[in-house]
Amino acid sequence: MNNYLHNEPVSTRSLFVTDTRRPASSRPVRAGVESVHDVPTWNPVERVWVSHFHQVGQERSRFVCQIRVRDLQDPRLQLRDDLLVVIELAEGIYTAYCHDLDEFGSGSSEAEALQDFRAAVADLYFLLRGEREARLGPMPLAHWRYLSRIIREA
Amino acid sequence: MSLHSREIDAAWKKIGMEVRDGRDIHARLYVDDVLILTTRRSKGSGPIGGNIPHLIRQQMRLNQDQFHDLIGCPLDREEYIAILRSKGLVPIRN
Repeated sequence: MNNYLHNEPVSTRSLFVTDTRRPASSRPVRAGVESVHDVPTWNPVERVWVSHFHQVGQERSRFVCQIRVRDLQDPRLQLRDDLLVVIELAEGIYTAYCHDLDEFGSGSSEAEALQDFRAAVADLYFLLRGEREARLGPMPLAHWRYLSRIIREA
Repeated sequence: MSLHSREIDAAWKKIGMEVRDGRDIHARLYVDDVLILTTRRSKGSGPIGGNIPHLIRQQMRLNQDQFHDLIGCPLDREEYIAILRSKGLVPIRN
């Protein structure tokens, strides 16, 4: 795999990162729940591509990468499918943005932004679940249909 | 794009977004009792930095000029809803 901007080879090792905030050993395992995330090599996030310079609108981000989020780290919710998230660093603030949900998280580190993003997705899920479908406009309705497809309640 | 939290709070209030204080400050736009969009900002009263203003603008479905007008006051609720309606984001009343 190549760095998409500079056409430089990217080490496969750098494509996979482990979220050290919550090691696999501390993750609660519920009986009857089968998930690929429960295997010992559990990896909550996978780095898909990395670029150190990327133009965003008129501003220049210093760091951009895309990550697959595999777990919301919320005991109430499980992801059936990965969420693709773009991490950006600008002015010392990391943001984690998911285009499919038009949702983001932010923080002073990549892990903090991802954690904020996970909480934002959970908030969005419960907000939309609490509304009747007839009371959802086109955009929230599309997000709810997507979320209800990829999230399973524990 | 620089944005202060009091500017975005004032803009949300001006266009009648429902603002709730939780883990973050959540703002929701309802039109005729239908949820049209949601956005949010972190708690705190300082400037909103990094790409966050850009992401809030994106969630509010405004281009840079429209967002500038929203913050600078010329854009009101009716005009904002008209923009969203033109994008098919506000259902037409029967």
